[in-house]
Amino acid sequence: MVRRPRPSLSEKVLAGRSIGDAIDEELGHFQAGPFDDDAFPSRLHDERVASILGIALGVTFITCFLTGLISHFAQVPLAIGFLSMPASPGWLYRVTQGVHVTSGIAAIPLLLVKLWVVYPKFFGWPPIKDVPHALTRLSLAPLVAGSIFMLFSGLLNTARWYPWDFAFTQTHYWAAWVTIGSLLIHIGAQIAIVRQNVGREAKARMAVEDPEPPGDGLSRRGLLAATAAAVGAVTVATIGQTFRPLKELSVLAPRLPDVGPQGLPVNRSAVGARVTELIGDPAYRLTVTGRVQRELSLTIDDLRALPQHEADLAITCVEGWSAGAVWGGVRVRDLLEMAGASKESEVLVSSLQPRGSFRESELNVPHAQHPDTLLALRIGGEELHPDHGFPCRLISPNRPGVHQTKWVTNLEVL
Amino acid sequence: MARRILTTLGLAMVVFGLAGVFRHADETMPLNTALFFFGGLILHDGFFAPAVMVGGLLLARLVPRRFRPTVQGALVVSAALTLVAIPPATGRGRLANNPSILPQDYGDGLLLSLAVVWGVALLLLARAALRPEAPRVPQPPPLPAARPGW
Repeated sequence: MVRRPRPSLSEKVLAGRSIGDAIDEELGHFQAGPFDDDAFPSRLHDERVASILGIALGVTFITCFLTGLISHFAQVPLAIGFLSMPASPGWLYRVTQGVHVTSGIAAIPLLLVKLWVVYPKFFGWPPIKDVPHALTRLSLAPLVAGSIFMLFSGLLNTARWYPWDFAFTQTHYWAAWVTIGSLLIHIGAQIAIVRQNVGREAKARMAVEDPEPPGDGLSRRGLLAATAAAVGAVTVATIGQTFRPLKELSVLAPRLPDVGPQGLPVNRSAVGARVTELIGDPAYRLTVTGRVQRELSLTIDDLRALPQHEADLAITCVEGWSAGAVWGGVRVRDLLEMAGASKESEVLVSSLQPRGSFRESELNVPHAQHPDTLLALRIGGEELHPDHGFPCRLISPNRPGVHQTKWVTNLEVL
Repeated sequence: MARRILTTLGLAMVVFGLAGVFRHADETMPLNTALFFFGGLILHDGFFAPAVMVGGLLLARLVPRRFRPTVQGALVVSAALTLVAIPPATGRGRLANNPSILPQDYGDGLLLSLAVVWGVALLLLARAALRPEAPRVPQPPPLPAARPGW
């Protein structure tokens, strides 16, 4: 590609050319059209830049995919026991889900700059050379469409904006397989070009054979620095939703980890879940049923009279925010023991919520037996706010927030 | 070899994903998904990228050479921040019964972050203005005559 640094319009006018002549020259450039060899004169449409951005984007996307898989299988547990979510370390899901959302947001500037760098290839002529070339070009459609779709739908989900009809979680999950599959095909097709353009050897060779052409705007290095700055800016502007020390800087974070009733965000409020009347009912009982030797039926006062424990655990929402708190209440395993349930049993936790996809959640054996798994009655020493699940809620380490069931009324031993 | 493995694995993943979309059609609504899936591609390739190209062309003609890299860099960062700010700024996710959702004023947040970006850019521009101008790039041969249409 021929690259021509040219004097700017203002320079031409200052040099005594008429504005009309200068504009004619610009439009002449336009008239050549995007299929012309000279249509995209920037020196930044370059294989080395594309390779470096491609590596960064590949690492970011695959990180995002793997942490997304962890989140998916934390929400929809596999029927294979040894793959089910462990209860410790308690911070694991908080970190993986923070990385998932952060890497997705960081990928937005990376993807757009990468697409800009390779955009001239879209107008490559002839459009189709042979069958492998056609297949390679065709495989770019799901890759580019999927990449945009994943970042767009994920970003909108963090802001809880749903302009579409499909169910977000399932569609985001299945589209991820299509997108990352196309990414692997693309990596396979481009790996040779990346090897030619990146690495110490390639750098030394290119310094002699193919040095960066002179030009006026950003250099290649400048573009990469600007992209890195953009990644840094969007990260700092949002990461405070899960990383509390940076919350003052996160002016674009959809949540703040200390804003909400009792200083903690809420995903579904008591009004939203339609439980405001049910939780005030004096007939409220917590029942323990199922495969037990004796069923339990406990009032709030009964629960308060049982041995109390404290646990410092985070609520980690799949949308990317997380916030820690000190919870106080009754250990689930103590209740199971009182009811005479086996230590090997799983537990179905049900809410007073009349409907909603997350009105129930299942505790696997490690979670049910973990000493930090509580039916919490208090948060930071205060009685739970209705939005946090009064009279009692489940809180357990290393678990997505949607499975920390609120307004709990029944534990069914399975 | 590596290429063959990646292609096979990738194809299998694509097929698995597509099968998932269609097997769970009541949740994924394939037509609606396809609309947003390819809609993004068409909007990007058909509108967003050309707009950025035209913007770049104008910028290269209007901004003096010594200031161009800084202005371009600041625009890249500004665009990224703006895109990330749009979904919360619409406020479409807000719920009357849950004020902990979208608790900030995102228009203000965007303006503040852009002010920081352009504040830094101004410092760099001032530095560029004080430096002696770099020697001119040698003048290339003139452009070929414009071809009508394409």
